Amino acid sequence: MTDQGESRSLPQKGGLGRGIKRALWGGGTAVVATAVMIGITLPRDASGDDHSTTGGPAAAPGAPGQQDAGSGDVTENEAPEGAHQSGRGPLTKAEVDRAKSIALGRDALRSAQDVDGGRGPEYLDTDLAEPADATGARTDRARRVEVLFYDYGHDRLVKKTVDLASGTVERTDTATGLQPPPSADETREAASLLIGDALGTGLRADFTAATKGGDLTSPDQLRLRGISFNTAEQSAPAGLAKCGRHRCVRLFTQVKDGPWIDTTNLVVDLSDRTVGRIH
Amino acid sequence: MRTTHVRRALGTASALLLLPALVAGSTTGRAVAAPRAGTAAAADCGTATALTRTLPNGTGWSMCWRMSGTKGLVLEKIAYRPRKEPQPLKVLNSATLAQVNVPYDSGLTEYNDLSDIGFGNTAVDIGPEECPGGTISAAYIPQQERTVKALCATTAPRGHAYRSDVYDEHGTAKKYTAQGSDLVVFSVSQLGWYEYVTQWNFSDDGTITAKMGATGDLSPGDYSGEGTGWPIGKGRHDHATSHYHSVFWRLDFGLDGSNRAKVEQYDTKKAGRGAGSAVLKTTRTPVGRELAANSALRRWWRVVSTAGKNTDRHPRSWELVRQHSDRYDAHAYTSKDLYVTQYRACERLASGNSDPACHGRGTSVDKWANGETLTHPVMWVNVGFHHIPRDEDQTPMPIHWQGFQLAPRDVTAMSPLTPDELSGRNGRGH
Repeated sequence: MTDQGESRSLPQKGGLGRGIKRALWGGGTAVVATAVMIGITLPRDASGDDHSTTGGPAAAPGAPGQQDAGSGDVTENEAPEGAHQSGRGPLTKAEVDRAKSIALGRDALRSAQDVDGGRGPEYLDTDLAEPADATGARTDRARRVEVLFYDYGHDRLVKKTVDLASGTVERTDTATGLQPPPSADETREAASLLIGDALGTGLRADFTAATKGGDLTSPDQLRLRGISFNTAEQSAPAGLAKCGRHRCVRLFTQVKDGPWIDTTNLVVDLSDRTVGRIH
Repeated sequence: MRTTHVRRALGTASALLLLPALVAGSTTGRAVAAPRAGTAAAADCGTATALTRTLPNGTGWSMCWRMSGTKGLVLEKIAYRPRKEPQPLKVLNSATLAQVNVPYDSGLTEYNDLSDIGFGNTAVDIGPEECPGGTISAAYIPQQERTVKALCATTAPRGHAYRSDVYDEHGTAKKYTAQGSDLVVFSVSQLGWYEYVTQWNFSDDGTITAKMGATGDLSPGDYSGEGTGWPIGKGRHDHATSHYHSVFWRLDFGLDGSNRAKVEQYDTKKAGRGAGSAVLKTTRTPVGRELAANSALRRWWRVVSTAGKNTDRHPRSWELVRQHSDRYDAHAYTSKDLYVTQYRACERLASGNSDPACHGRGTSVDKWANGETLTHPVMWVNVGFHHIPRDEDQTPMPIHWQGFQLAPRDVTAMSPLTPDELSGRNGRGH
């Protein structure tokens, strides 16, 4: 690891990784994680479906489950589906798609920019709104949905509250300085910037070690989880003071089918496309 | 790899959740597809299926559930139906996590797990071995753009519900005893190397237990020195960095269907010595305005219904039962154990609140608790755990829990579990 490379690699080698921790603490060379670590830190496959007992929405009592767990049958309920829902339950994919479409309808937010500088805002998330409570009576049958966007052109967060029944935008709220969790696109963009940055030296070196000679050139080679970083909410050095007004992201980084590489010391400023470090 | 996972999950979950006695053939213990709106038992969740269960001793619980990207598991319209009660009693409009703040003692890093990453965004599939005898329900998670088997609801034994040798007029003892059980509801979120279990236990005596379990692995990259870490592994070289988990829950009460609950604080103090022991005097302080408060010796709070009384004509209430907590005194918002604020739809996370509709109000609960009159109280419970790692916390880390309880106080005239033969013994003079 060089002076510039701040990514710290994780334990390797048998012995529960003690050797590595020593190397890390001592600032020694980067070494990569062990099979043991890999075994315990690998993600569950997103598409993994290791049991086939899926009941319908009404559930399937007596589904076999995994009997070797020794603890009786497990019933499974599928996720609700379809655009027409009411009340307080999970959002469906159809509702989320429809809410986004309504929120962006009629060229709304056309002047906004996404994380790549493209036209239109960066979509972040959708959630069911709190029941309307204007009169103290909670009317919760109607599905009102909040769609969150980030406008990189103006560095501001935009919330569109959508009434799914009427297909209209009920209200729009905007604010600066608020930084909810990053989207998958933003996370990927942050990793791309980090890989190409001088501060990504350590990450690239650790990747090469982890893959026995591979070159890290794309976020696709990593399993990533983005962490928004807002200096209004936590301590940070002066060099990162813009984070908060700007949209900044840290990363949990893992080689696909491999070890963690610790990049949490590095902060990618997606608004001005620079990389900084916490210490 | 997968096998490793499965075994680990079973290992951490089994101590709490396995329930050999209730698994086979217990029809009352199983989750049922809820009847639709209008019946007495199930919460009205619209087109969604209510999570409804009647426990073996006759107590019913019902609620709606969903997953939020930031907050993770959201429980709404929580209702309690004591045995013999004709209608479910509404308790909470909603109950959610409101922040998990994880700063490391080294001063080098900090995570706000809800506001910066999100518990729904990181929700993972629950396997059948983690949910014995239960029901696993899936939900579409927008940020993940996929469906996750996100919720387990099952029944778990909790040991003695009560035990009493009661003597009749002939001096003959009869033993009254029962085993209690909980409806257990949880989701699991993976944030890097940490894995969190967000769990709620709804007991057959009416107690609600909120708890957050942390397992997975200690941070593999955070090693520190004497005083800010603890040596793990051989010798005294590698000091895994100590850190905090400050967990906030947000409770929006809707007691007996009304938002207009009252909040009270109780303190018990020494008041001299009586003939046989010290006199302790308990006083009630109404909390009419927003509150930011700390625990103290013999201090507790309750939320009191303005809309319902039990058959003894006592107003129904729910008492906040705190367990040990070390509040983190390096942030303002984590420096208090409890906040009570006036309801606002946009105030959702205890810090890093990122709803633009709340713009200008500050982003943390300490800013919101500013003396406003309480007509619709929302309770924010902060439970802090300072984790100094130990050898045993190495991979996978044994799950550590932190949480609190809500206990019914005068919700029913006697316990819903009181055996019928003793149900006449209500009050003095029997």
